[in-house]
Amino acid sequence: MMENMDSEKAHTALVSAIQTAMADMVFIDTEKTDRPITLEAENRAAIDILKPISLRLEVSAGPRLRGRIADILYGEDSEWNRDDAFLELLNVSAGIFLSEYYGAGMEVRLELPRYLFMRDDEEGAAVAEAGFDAEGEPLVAALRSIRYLY
Amino acid sequence: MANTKQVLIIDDSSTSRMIIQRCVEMSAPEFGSFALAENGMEALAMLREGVRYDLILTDINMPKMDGQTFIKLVKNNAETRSIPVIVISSIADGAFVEDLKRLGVTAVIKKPVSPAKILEAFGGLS
Repeated sequence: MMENMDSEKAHTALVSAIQTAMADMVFIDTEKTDRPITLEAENRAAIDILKPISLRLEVSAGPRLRGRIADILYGEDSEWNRDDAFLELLNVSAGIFLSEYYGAGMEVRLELPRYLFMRDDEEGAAVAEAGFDAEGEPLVAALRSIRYLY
Repeated sequence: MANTKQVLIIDDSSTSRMIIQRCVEMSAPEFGSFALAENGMEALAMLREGVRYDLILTDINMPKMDGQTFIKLVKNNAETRSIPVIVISSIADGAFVEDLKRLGVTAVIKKPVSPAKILEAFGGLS
């Protein structure tokens, strides 16, 4: 099914999903940037889309941005709040991406969002990637093939 | 209006439960009591304790028991079928919404939830 994916349209939908989720959930202005992004001690979270296409949405952000997201939502930053808030942001981003890319009416199945702790060998080819400047903090989002995992 | 109505919020994300509760508090102050569950199985156990909820707000994609299974069980039980159910999910498009309506769901809200979306959905409550 991957071969049917329009990578340019996927990139546009990915950028829109991240910007919309960040704006609507935590009111953080998130601009796409072409500058190379280096994330120290990054935390990479992912949600697998099983229908209508096999695809993984990954989002990585450093501890400062994840802490700010937790602080905005909860009024305080804690490790638990930080971890849960980032996964929920990813979940919402996946829903927006699917609506943007496919429109209404598609049957959709999502796995639960989770953290990826290692740069392991299950990474598939990137369909689209985008770097963002979230009011001074770096954020990276990518869509990857997971066809062979399921 | 007295804030005496009870709402059961079901979502595996504590962030989402907190956001939903805040949005309800802002847009529907008649709901003054909140019970929180992490999945359908936990929510079913709470319903069996006999508390009469005035409204259920549930996510769909959850571990242990998903929202669709939970809604089917609620709507097939004579004691709970009259409780209005509103779905709040990251997936809320087209055929999926129609399927949920056929199960007896009152409204479907697409995440991210907002007070305005809550207000609009609650307009369908009798």
